[in-house]
Amino acid sequence: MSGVTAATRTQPPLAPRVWAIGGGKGGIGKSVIAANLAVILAQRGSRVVLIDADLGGANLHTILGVLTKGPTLTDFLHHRIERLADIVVPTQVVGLFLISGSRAPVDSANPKHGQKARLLRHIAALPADHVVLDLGAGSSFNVLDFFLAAEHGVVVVVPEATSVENAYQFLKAAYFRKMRRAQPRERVKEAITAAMAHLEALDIRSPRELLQRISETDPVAAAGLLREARGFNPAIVINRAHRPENRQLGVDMALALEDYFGRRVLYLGAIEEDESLARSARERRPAAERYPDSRFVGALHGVVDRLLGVEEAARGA
Amino acid sequence: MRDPRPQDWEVLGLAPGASAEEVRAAFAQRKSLYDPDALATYSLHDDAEREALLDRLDDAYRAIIPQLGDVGLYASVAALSPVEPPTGPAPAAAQEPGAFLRHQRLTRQVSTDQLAAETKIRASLLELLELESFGSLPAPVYVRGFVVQCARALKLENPEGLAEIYLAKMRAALGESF
Repeated sequence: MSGVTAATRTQPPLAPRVWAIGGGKGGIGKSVIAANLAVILAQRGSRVVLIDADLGGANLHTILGVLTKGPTLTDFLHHRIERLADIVVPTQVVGLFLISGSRAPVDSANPKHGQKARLLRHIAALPADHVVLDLGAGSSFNVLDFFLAAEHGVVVVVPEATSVENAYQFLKAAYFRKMRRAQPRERVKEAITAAMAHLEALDIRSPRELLQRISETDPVAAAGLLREARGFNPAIVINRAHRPENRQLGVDMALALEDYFGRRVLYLGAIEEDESLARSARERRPAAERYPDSRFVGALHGVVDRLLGVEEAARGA
Repeated sequence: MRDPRPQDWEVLGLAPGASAEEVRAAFAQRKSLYDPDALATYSLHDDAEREALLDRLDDAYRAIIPQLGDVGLYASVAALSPVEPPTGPAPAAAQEPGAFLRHQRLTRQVSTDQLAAETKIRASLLELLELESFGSLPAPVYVRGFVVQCARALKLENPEGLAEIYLAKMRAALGESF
C-alpha cells in the first residue's frame, strides 16, 4: 500500500488537473479563494502550480506574500520566455508554486489564439498534480477560453443580484463559445441556425431544449453537439454567505442551471468570510496558512473535498 | 384533463413513477425557484421565458397529480384554478391547516392574487403556504404572521389558533427545534 502511494507521489500524473476560478464579476473574492484553494491542496500533499491569469489585474503574489522581480505570464505570452516551467517560482507554502501575472500598469490583456494554445500546451506539461488558474473578471473570449480549458470551471457568486447576473452572463457566454467552436461542420451550423431562427415558434426556452429540437430534425448534428455539451461541467461556490438562506442560493442556482443547460451543475458549498481574511490580507499571508481553524478556511476545505470527490468519481467511471 | 407526457416529468425534474409527495415537493421547489422575485434565477430568463416555464410547471402538475391518487385537496385539478369554488368537503383545520385555508379562500371565491394584494404576501408564497410546503417557506416566525394575516383577511375565527396548529405541524415536519 505505502509502496504504491510512494510510487505515485514521486511520479505526478502525466498531465495536471486544471481548475479555473472565474465568475464574471470583479471584487467577489475570486483571487483569495483561488490562492487559498491552492494552499489547501498543497497542504494535503499535492504539488500545485497557481497561475495568475488575471492579465489586467494580477495580485496573487500579494495575497501569497511572494516577492516577484522575475518574469511573468506576460513575458511568456510575448515569447520573451520560451518555457512556462521557467517562470514558476516557489512560495512559502511547501508544494505550492506561483506563476505571477504582469505587474506592469499597461499591458496586453488580449493574447492571440496562438498564444493561448501555446500556454495551454505548456500548462499540460507542468510537473504538477494540480494547476489552479485565477481568471480575471468579465466574459471576454480570453477569460472564457481559460475557463473552458479547465477540467473544473468554478464560478464564484456572492449573494447579490449583480453577481448572480454576471455569473449567468458568464456561463451562457462560455456555453455558447464552446458550442460555436465545436461546430466546424456545415450541417451542425445549419441545424443550429435553422433552430435559432425559430426559437419563438418552436417554443424553445433554453440550450437544453434547443438540443432536444435539433435531435428531432438532425440526430447526427445533435450527437456532435451533445458530445461537446458533456464537457460543460461548471461548479458553483457561494462566497460571503453570511445569512442562512445564502446556502440555499447555491442549491437553487445549480438546479436552475441544470434545467437551463441540461447539464449537471455541481454546488461546491457556501463560504463565509470572517475576520481571518482581513488579518491575513494585512499580513500578506494566505488565510489557509495562518488561520487554518477559521470558518473561512474550514468552508474551503469542504469545497476541496467536494471537488476531489468528483474527480475520483470521474476517474473511477 | 390530459394524460401526463414524458416532458411533464422532465419539467419537474423527476423520473416517471415518482410519488405524489415527491411531485408536490418538486413542484413547490420550482415554483419558488422561478418566482419573479427569486434571487437564484435573477436575469437567467426574460419575462416571457419565465412565464412559459411557470405555465409548463402548472401544466405538468395538473397532468400528473390526478394520476397519483388521493393526496388531499390540492390533488384536485381545481386546486390550480384559484377562483372556482371547491367541490369536496372542507378539510379539518386541525389536520390540514393549509388545505383548510385554501378551502376557505376558494369558498369565498378569492384568488391568491387578490389575497396577495390584501395581505402583501406574495401569491407564490401563499400557494406554498396552502400546500404546506414547509421546507420552502421562510422561518416559522414569519409563517405564523402569514397564517394570521390570511385568516384575518378571510375573516376566519381564531386566526391565532389556526397559526398555532400550522406551526405545530410545520415543526413536526421539519423535525427541528426553533
